[in-house]
Amino acid sequence: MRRKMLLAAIMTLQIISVSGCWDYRDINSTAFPQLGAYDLHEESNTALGNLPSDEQQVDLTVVIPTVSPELESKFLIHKTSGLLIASARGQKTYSLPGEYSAGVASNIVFSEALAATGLNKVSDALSRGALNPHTENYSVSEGRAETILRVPIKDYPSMGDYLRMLIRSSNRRTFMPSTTLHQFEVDQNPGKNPVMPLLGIKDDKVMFSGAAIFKKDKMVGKANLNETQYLVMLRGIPSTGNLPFILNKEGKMSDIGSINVNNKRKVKVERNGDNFTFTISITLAGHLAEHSSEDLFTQNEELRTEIEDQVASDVTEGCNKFIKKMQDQYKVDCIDISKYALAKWRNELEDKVDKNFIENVDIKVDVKVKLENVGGES
Amino acid sequence: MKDKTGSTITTKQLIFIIVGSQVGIRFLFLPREVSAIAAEDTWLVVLLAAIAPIIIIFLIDRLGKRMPDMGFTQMSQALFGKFLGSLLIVLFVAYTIGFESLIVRIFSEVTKLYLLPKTPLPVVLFMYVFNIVYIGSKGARVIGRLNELLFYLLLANFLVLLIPLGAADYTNILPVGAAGWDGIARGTVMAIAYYAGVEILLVFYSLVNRKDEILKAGMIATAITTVLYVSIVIICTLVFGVAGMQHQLFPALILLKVVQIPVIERLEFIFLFFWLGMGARPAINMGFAASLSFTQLLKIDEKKYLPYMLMGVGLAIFIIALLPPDILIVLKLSEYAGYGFYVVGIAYPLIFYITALVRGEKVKQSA
Amino acid sequence: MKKPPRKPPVDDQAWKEEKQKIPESNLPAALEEKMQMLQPYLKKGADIITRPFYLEGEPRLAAVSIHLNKVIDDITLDQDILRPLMLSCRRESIQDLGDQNMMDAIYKTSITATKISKVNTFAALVQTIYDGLTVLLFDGLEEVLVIDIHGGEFRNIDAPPAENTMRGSREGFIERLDINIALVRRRLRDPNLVVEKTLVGRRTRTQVGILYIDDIADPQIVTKVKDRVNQMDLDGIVASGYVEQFIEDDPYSIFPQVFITERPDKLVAQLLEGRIAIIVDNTPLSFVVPALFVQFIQAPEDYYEKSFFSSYIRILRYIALLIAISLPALYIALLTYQPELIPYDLLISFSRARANVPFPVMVEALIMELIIQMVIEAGLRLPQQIGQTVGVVSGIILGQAAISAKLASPIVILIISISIICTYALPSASMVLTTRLLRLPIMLLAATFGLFGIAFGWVVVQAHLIGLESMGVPYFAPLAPMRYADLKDSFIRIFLRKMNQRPVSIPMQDRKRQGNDGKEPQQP
Repeated sequence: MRRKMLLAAIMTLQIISVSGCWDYRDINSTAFPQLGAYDLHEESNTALGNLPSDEQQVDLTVVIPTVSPELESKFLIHKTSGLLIASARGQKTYSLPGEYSAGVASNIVFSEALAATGLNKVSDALSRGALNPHTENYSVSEGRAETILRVPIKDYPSMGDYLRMLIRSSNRRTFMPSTTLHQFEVDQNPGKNPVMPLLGIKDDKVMFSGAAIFKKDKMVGKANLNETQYLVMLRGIPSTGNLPFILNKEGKMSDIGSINVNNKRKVKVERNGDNFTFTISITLAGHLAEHSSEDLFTQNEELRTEIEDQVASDVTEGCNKFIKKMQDQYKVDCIDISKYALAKWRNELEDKVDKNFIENVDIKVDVKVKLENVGGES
Repeated sequence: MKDKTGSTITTKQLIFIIVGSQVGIRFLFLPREVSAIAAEDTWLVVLLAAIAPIIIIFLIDRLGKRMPDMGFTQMSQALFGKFLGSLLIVLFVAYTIGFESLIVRIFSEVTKLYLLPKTPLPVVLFMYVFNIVYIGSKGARVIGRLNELLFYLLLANFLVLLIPLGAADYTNILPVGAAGWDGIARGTVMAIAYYAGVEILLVFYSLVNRKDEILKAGMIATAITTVLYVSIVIICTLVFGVAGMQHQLFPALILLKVVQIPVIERLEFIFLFFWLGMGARPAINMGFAASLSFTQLLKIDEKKYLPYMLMGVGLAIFIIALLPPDILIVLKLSEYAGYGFYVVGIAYPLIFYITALVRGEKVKQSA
Repeated sequence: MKKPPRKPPVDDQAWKEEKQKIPESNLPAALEEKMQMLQPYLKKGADIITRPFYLEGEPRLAAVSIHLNKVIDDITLDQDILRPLMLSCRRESIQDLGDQNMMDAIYKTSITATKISKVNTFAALVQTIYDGLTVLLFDGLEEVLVIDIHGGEFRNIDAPPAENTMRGSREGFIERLDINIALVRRRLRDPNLVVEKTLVGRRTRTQVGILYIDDIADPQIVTKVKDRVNQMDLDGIVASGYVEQFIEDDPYSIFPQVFITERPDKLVAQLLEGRIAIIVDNTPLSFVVPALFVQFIQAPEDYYEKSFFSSYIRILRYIALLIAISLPALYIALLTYQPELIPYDLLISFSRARANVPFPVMVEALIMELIIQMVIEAGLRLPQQIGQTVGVVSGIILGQAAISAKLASPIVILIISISIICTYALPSASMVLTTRLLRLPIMLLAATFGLFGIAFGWVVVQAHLIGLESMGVPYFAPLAPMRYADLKDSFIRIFLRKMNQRPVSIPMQDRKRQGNDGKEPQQP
């Protein structure tokens, strides 16, 4: 009897399967976008009030690699508009045949304008999608994101590939922050704020031009490449990068060169009533990449100390300038130190930490440079 | 009274049966629900809640020692008289079936969400129910062996959860005790509901071949479950922070979306592949327990009728699991299931044990 | 016109038995009468040779030898039976011993053949003739002498064709049961080795030998095996496969529940582990019960090499088993249900490779799978010389042609070939067949439910395996129930010196098989 039961079950299963495989989608008719650009719709009416439901607020432009080998171009760019991102995606079905798999895009670029109005609402679609990973890299573009996408690119198969490789390896090679969807979401927690790399177009090439400072999900400022270096060091994002130095002796340049260092930071917070003092100790450890004087590095102990001191003082100066800018201009904790205060006095500070906190604390920076070796990776 | 097929399970298999019945699918949203009350101290709360299963196991063990060789049904009828005893058994079976339907429903929802979005819910449910009926009909021995084998196979799955530690931020879990006594107390009460599954010992007690080791086995099982739960909670807290956990429906699963490793780009699919396919053990164990109790209640020959009973139970599960219209109601129902656990899991052994103490010698003679 | 009423159907079974029954009557003493009774049988068989002769001495004692042609050793018949009886029987010394002792005296003094027995009923007489034994009928004596001098043409002991090994004996079983048993005895000289013979099949009357080591094997299992063999009630068996299918626990399962081997050394290893072997006459195979799943992944040379090599190769085989069963299904599931799981660059290149194939992935994979299975089947039937070439040629050409005709993408051909290779990496032919079959339902499940379907299929298969029993012994031990002591011989093969106990998975009496507890041999 058990056999009959098994047989019945198997037959039911077969009938079910014959009647349709509901989730079946064939891979060669599916579009796999590599890169997405989110923009504000040009003629959008962002005033509050009753918006008609086909109002369009965002543009979604994607780069999709083509599949058929007979085509000349390796990718196609497709743009649609919608109320928010998912509805923009929904509009794609009218002009893009086949299935659409949003979950494989590895990079999303937001325009400045869109970032200023708050990114949570456009990031929501990506975050909720069950099939999406949370490792997409977010970045902000100067100007419209769409233009970044459309910059013609000759040396790489598509802009998607280029940007993917650029952003993915960015913080291993230089002091540039990188944010993933997950990082962005986690940085909405009390006391944290995201930063994203800034992409710009220079000489017809897309390149990093700094960092975008966010207050929760709205962009509030930009930092240039120089300031981004200090931002990364202060924020404690582990990176490797190259720092030039100029040694002056008796008013003359005695040595110029650069060092490759990794950065590490430690933060201590002390409290005195309502005054908080943060001490950020940054350690830059690495090796000398090059220098111009004829003094032999291996024999000249002083040279090493001089270089270390010079770089340390340069970095300290830059950091302090940045901190001042952060407290006065941005008024937002983009260097991720409030969490240490929260770790100790969470109940008290939880509600206050995002308002008027970072502007009123003391931040001291202490930089140490250690040159351990000569040569090595640059 | 042993399972009439003569099948018994070893104490090691008992450990894995208990663990398998507890760690089902609800651990996926355990961090979210408990951290809503206990904030950063969720891990502490989950740890404290482990007291409950320990007490329950202790009570059941003492109960069983007083009346060895009695199946759950017999025990109930001997202690409370035929009518009340049978009623208690029926309630137990109803609780089990309800709990199982819930679990199967959650499993199906997660499957539909991540793996098979367009497949109709009854089809996915059918596949789970088929597993329950097929595996359960093979008897206690096979269930014990299956739990044992699957436990080892699926242990590696949990190691995968350690990978996101690279993105962890230790400040998220400090300071300890921020939730205050009130938060911790309420959180503990809520966390106890996640240890549901241990009451299965009531039915499986009589099937174990070496009864003197049951207490130790139960402790080990509780320890394993606690370690698993606490680790998941800690990792989730470290990676997401308390506020971040509230945004996601299944934080433990989103955990795996956070990092990418080469080749296998999507960890959560790998995890789900093993877990959904082979993880429906709570349902299987409970389905078997329910059918067994029912056959004992109706005093029919177990060996012959167990498959039919299981089919009946399977049908009931299928129908009940289809009832809730959406996932939010399902999650609400899981809260009620938690309350059910307080009754069946905690109150039942307590009542039984006290009654056994009170009625003392009389019961032993009538056994 | 009305049809004449049919005769009521005769009770078939009783009618058959009635027809087949040879009367069990006692034999008359006179030779003439005995020959008379045998006449109908002698007429039906032109290859029954009767040779009348007189025993040496006076008065003349007539005798007849009857045997089947070419089934016995003619030389032995002539030299050891007829010659002494006809020429040097020394009748005088036995003349007055009386009828009773005459028979004994005859064969104890005159016949130099070895295997002699007596029968005295007609049914037994006829059976023995057809069983290939030589019978001697004597005038005046009721009893008949039966001598076993099997001979005739048979295949030489040769390397077993299906189980090649690099290190190890090259002898394989042949069709003669006695010689097979001899091969085993040569390797296992333990006096506790029990050899029992029974007959199976009413018409074929095939001899079946059951071998086991008395003080190791579990007596309950032995009894069970013997009972099942004796309960086989059928016309005849042609090969051991019949016996297998009758004594296995679960005929509905696709997993083999008996372990087949063609090699005596493998068989002896199994016997030493407390298992029971059955050898069937006329089949050069033996099979062993109880069988465990892990056996089908083990090969004998695992024990002849060092532990590291064997462990590595064993793990390779397990991986091969997994790949063989699920790789095509995984391909289907990933490409159609979860493309996000595939790394992005690979994904795009797969898309591009499949761009022009009109079929959906499932159909493509299924077509290639079926074609490859047919190639394999055809390869089995082709004669040796062209079999190899055709296999290679068809594989390459088919693959290439399919790609050019855009019927399949290169990936699917690669996938199917890899899984076929992995299938044949398994050392046991029965498991190869199982794998070939098991692939298809898992592919179907993958095509319907994607990864979830594969996981579901595995669970069902696992549950089935766990519940399967071979002669009452759980099939999937040592993995479930987990016999921790045996794990050291399942995935890896631990050092021989540490394998002190016999496998715990099989019930048996005497556990200890090694003496020195894994210690290093002592320095002198």
